Amino acid sequence: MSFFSDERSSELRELFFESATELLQSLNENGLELEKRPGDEEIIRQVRRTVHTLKGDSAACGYQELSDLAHQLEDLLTPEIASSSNGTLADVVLIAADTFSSMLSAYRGNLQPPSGEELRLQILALTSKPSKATPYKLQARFAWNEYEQMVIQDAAGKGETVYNIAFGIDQNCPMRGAAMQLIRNVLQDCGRLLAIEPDHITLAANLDVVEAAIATGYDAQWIRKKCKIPAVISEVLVERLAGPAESSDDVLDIVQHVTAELHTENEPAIRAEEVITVTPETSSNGHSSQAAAAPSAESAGSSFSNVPETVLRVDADRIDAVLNLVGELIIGKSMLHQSINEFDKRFPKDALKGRFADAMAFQARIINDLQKSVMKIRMVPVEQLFRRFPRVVRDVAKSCNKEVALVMNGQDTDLDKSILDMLAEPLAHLVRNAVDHGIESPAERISAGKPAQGTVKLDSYHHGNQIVVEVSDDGRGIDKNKLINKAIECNVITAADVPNMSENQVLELVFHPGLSTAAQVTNISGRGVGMDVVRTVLNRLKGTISIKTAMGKGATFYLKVPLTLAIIKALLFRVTDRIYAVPLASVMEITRATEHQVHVVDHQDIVQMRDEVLTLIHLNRLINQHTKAKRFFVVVIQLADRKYGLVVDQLIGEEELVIKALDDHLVSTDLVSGASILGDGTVVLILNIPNVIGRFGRTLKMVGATA
Amino acid sequence: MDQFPLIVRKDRKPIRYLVVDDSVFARKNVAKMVESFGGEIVGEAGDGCTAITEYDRTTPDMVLMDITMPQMEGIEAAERIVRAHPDARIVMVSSVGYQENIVAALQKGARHFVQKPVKAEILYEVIKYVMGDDAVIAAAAVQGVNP
Repeated sequence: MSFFSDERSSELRELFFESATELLQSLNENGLELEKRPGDEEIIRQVRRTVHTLKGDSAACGYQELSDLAHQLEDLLTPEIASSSNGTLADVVLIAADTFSSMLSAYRGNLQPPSGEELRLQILALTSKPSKATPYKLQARFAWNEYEQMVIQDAAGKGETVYNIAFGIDQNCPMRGAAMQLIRNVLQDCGRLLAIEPDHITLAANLDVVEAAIATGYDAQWIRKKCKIPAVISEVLVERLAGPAESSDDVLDIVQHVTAELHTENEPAIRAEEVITVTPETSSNGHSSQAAAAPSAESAGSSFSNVPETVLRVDADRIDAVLNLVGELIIGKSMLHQSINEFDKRFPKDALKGRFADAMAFQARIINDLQKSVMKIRMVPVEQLFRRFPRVVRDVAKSCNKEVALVMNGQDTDLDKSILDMLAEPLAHLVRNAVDHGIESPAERISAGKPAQGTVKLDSYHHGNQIVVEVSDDGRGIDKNKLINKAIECNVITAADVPNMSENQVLELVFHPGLSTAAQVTNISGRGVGMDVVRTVLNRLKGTISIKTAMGKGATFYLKVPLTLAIIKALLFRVTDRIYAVPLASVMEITRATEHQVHVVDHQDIVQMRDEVLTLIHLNRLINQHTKAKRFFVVVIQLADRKYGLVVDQLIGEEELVIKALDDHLVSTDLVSGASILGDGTVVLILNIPNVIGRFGRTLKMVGATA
Repeated sequence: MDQFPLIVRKDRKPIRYLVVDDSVFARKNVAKMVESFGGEIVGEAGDGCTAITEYDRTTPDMVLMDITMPQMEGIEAAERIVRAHPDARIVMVSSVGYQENIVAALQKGARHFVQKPVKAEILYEVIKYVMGDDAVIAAAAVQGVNP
C-alpha cells in the first residue's frame, strides 16, 4: 500500500534503495568500530541514528518487515545494553546489516523478504537480559541532515527564532499517517517548517516520534499549546534552537515535557507535568545555547558550525547524456579540423587561415576542458569501493580462524563510477581469496617466522592513463608446482608444455576456469565468481590483471583499468583498406620490420626487437587476407607482462575516440570492443586486444592443442 | 454519557455545528454528543453536495464531516468548503481504514480528524483544540445555554 502514485513511488523506491545501501555501509562500518570499542556511546548513537533512518525510510516505502526489524534493533541500541552485552552488540549490528541487506535485495526483486529470524532471536537474547521495563519516554534526537541543517542555520542567520519540536504520538492513535499529516498542518500554522523527520507521510503503524524544526514568531508556550494535539499527541518537547535574545526567561534553555491530559485512565492523573532544565547561558549568542541544549542535540550542533557542503545528487544517465554530447562535439571538432586542413591546402595564402587556426585552437581548448570537467563528474574516489572490505576481511578471517589486518592506501584515487562498480565483484573475490587462501593460519605463520597476524593490503594509484588497484597479502604465495600439477590433471596443459612456459604463463593458469589451488573448496572461495570471471571483467573494462608472487612471502594482484570507458586516446592504423584503433595506453612503441627479420618458431611468426622476442599478430588474417608486404609496421603492445607485435599496413596517427558501444546484434565478434566515428565520417573499429591476441596470438590454449 | 464542562463560543453563545454523514444514526449520535457539550446543531447533511449548500446557508462554527458518502465524498466537500471559506473548521470523522483519505483531507485543509466510532471525550478535546481561542469553557452546566 503506497500513498504515492506509481511513477513517484518507483522514483522513491530507487532513492530508497540507494540511500539504504549507504546506510547499510555505515552500519557495517559502525559495527566494526563498535567491535573495537564496545560501549562507545557516540558509536552507539550513530548506529541508532542509522537504524532509525532505515526504519523510517523502509516504512515509508511500505517495507514493513524491514521496518519492524529495524525498529526492534533500534530499541536495543542503548549504552546500557551495549555495556551489559559484553561486545555481542557489535555482532548483532553486523548480523543486522547482513539481514537488512538480504531483505533489501529481496524487496528489490519484488520477492518475499527473509524473515530475519536469526536477528530477531539475537535481539531478543539481548533485550531479555536487562528486563527492566523502561517506561515510555519521549526521546528526541533531532539529527538533521546536512540540507536541513543548512535551512535551519539559514533561518537562524536571518534572526528568526528556531525551535526543535518532538511529538510523541499517542500509543492509542491508530492512524499514524493521518497524525503525521495533522502534525504538519499544525506546524505550518505555527510558523515556517524547516525540517521534519520522517519527512514523508508514512502510513506505518510504528511511527512513534515525529521531530521537526520550525522558524516562528510565536513563543514556546504558544507552540506547546498548539502542538498538544488531542487524540494524536501524547507528549511534546519544545526546544529553543536559535534566535535573537529575548526576555531574560527566554534566554534560558527551556526543555519541557508536556503530557497531554487525554487518556489518563490507565495512568495516574498527570496534568501537564513540566520539567524545566535551566542551563546557564555563557553568551547571549543564540548558537551557543543550542550546543548546550540536550546531549542529543550535540552532534547536530557541532556540525552546525561547518559551512554545509553543497552536494548534488544527479542521475548517472543525465551525466552520460552530457558526456555523449561532448563526444559528438569532439567528432564535430575533428570534422572541422579536417575541413580546415583542406582549406589550407586549397588556399595556402589566404589571410583567413590564421584566424581559422586561432578559432580552432580556442575551440579545441574549450572542448578539452569541457570533456575533462564532465569526466570529473563521473569520477568517484576508490574509497567507495574499498570501504566495504574491512567487513569482508573481518568476516572471512573470522570464519577461517585467521588473524588478518587490512591496510588500505590511495583511497582518494578517482575512478570512473561505472568502472568502479564493475570492479567491485572481482576485487571482493581477490580480497576473499587473499584471506582464505593467501594468509596462513596463525600457528603456521609463527612457525614460518612471521607475525601471527597476516596483512592484506589494498592500494590504488595512477599509472599513466590507467589506474592500478593492488591487492596483496603476506601469506604463503602461489605454489607454482601445485598449479602446474593441477593444470596437467585438468588437461589444461600437458607435461611437455611445462619447460616452455614462462613464469607468467604459469601464473596465468590461475585464471583458467576450473582451476583452484585450494585443497578444499570452502564456502568463502570457490563460489560462483572464479578467477576466470575476474579476468573476464577486466577484459571487458579494457584492463589487465597481473600477478607477482614469491613462495612464503605472499602474492600481489595488479588490476590495471583505464581511467574512463567513454573516451580513449587511440592509435589509428590501416590494415588492408580498413581503419582500426587500439587504446594508446596499451601501445608500448612502434617499430618497422622487414620480411627477412621474421622467423617462424612453433608455427608462430616472431621478430626480434632489441633483446626481446615479439610474437607477431597478422591483423590482415582477421579478414582472411594473407598478403605479405616486404616492409611493414609493427605496433608493440603490452598485455599483462607479455609484449606482442601487431602487423599493420599503414599508421594513421593518434586521435581521441569517443567509444560507441556495439551492443546490438550487428556485430557478433568479441574481437572489437567498440566503434568510433572519425571527423570525415569513417567508422573505426576499436580492437579488443586481449581477445585478438587470444584468437591469433600464441596462447596457452594453442600450446595445449598443438603439442 | 459522561458530563463535560460546557464549551461555548467566546461570546458565550453555543458553538454552531454542521453534521455531515450519510448515516442518520451516525448524525444523531454525533449530534447528541455535541449537544451534551453545549453545542447547537444548525444543519445536517447526508452527502457532500448538501453539505456545501448547508454550509453556505448556516455558516457554522464547525463541521463534523464523514469521509465516505454518496454524491460527493467528504474530502471533496471539505476541499470546496475550505476554498470558499478559508476559516472553516472542518473535522473529519472516519474509520481507521480510510487513513489515506484522511491524510488527503488534512492536506486539503481539514483541521483535525476523529476516528469512528466516535468517543465523546476525544471529540470534546478535538473540538476544544480546533476552536482554540475562539471558545471558552463555561465553568459548569450553565442554565442559560439551551440548545
